[in-house]
Amino acid sequence: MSILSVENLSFSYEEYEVLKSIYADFEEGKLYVILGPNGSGKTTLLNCIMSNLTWYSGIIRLKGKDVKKMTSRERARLVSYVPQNTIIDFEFTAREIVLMGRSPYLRFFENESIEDVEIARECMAMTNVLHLMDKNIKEISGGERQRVLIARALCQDTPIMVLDEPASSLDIYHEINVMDILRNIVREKKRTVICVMHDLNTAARYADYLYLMSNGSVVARGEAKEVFNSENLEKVYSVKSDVIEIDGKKYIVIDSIV
Amino acid sequence: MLYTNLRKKYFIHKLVIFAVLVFVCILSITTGIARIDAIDTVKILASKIPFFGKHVNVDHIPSSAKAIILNLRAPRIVMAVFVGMGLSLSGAVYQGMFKNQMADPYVLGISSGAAFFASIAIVFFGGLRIGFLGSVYIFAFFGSVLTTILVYMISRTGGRLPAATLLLTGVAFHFLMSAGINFLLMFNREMADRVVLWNMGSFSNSSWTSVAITVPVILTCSIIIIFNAKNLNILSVDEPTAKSLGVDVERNKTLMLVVTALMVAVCVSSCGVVGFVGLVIPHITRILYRPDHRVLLPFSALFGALFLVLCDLVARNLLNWLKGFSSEMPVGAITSAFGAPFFIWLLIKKKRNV
Repeated sequence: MSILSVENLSFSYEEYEVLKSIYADFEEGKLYVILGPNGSGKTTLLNCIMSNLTWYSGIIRLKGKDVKKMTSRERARLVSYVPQNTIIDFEFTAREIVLMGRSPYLRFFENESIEDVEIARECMAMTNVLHLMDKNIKEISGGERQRVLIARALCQDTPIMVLDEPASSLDIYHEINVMDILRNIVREKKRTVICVMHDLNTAARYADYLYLMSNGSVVARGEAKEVFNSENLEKVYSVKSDVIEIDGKKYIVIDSIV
Repeated sequence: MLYTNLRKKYFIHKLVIFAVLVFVCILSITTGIARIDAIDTVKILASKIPFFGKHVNVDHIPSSAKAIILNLRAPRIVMAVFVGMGLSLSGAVYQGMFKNQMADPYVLGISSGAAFFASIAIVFFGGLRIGFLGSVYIFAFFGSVLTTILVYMISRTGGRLPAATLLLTGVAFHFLMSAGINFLLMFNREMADRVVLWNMGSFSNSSWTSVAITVPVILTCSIIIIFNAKNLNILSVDEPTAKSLGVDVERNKTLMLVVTALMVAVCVSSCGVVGFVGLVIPHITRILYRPDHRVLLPFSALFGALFLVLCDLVARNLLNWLKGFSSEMPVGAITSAFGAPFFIWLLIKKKRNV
């Protein structure tokens, strides 16, 4: 059974239709990647799933329940979020940031308990940021900050984790590092991870399932080998490309723009 | 270090700062142009403590001294304590919520907005009382809410609140509202004495009546804000994240803005526009302690009270100490003398970071 389903989702900014009748299903223990050119509606889809935008038509269900009928705290125990902008203005320590992930479980006057601190420690270990625990969040690198925020989402202990371009501002080493961590979370903890992404080769390498979007619609869906072919890429991105296979993995080589 | 581990240590810090505050209040009440003996002052105060007071002999002290201590100095010091608390808490809330370390009710023009509308109430309605509350308070509240909404709406662009735009809008409103006050002054010179107070900030008009309105409002608002500390932590990180962590962002922000507007309004109604307290105090507290609002807010309240009592002490006595004049300075002049250089220092530091 799908843990998150999107049924007939449409969204418009005034006259302009950003999402046109989207259907999507997300299952437990898989890494999903939503791809598409700028303006294809993938961030809007993410914002609808996160209830940042609520005036959409259609239904989004979390564990079978309409999200519009849930409180924000109920939602916070089911979906966690890592924003694209990871810059934080105040000098919190990395651990304070990770511990904020426990807030959907704390009562109004309650402070974090020893158990919460222990959970935070485990999550930080899993994303390799334990050594940064007491470091000032403003003084660590972008890749480290990204991993701290993933640790916070992990600490929120939700079945679904949504990330907005988790690797877009990172160099190749940190990109692979972050994606490996996400794959690990999916495999070991049986979480559902949904990423919006730009890099086709990273998507091909890590995604269990892909949604390729263009002009507010899902143009292609499925595993990398089904989604990536020259026709789809030309249709969506207006580029000429070769899709080659090495050791059973797909690689996209861009030739030229159309 | 974690908040939960530090609570005990911080509790002791709070007690110490509170003791210093009490000491400074007593120091301030014994200092003034009318020379009243420190021991006599303490006796006058002690005689007002229930039960215990009966045993204190104050018969030898002239009644004019009693009146100065009890009806002039005591209410203004109480007022300074609570206004200091209110202004620095509002500053802390604005800084966290707008993610802008330079925000405060003065810089954002909210104090001036309250003052402009308070002046309207004085000039056109003579400070008419509507039931228990004076129209000054009601107008000031309307002014602070209106300015908050306008500054927020104008500087918000595409779901974000750029730091520079927010400050520019705020400063523009500050000047607009100050200009409005000056216009009112030009056309109503006979009211000048009363209105000029709003522009400069002074505790000289404090009375037990104004304390009776200001203190309960500021106390209630402060408690609401301090109870909301955990949500403010999350809001100060990132709004979409706050939403995903189960905070009802819009409702929470509205609540905080209304509460701070109310607090700023009563502060301005009772002592005019006192600038920079809300900017300086939370900032220093953040450097001394932590950005965690559970720590930041209570300490800001204490330091704010301490700072404003000290500034009021200086404002009352500086001219006397230096020149032997028996007139006092506006307290806003003293806070600005500290605050404006601090603001410039922040700007320079920010420039280096970029």
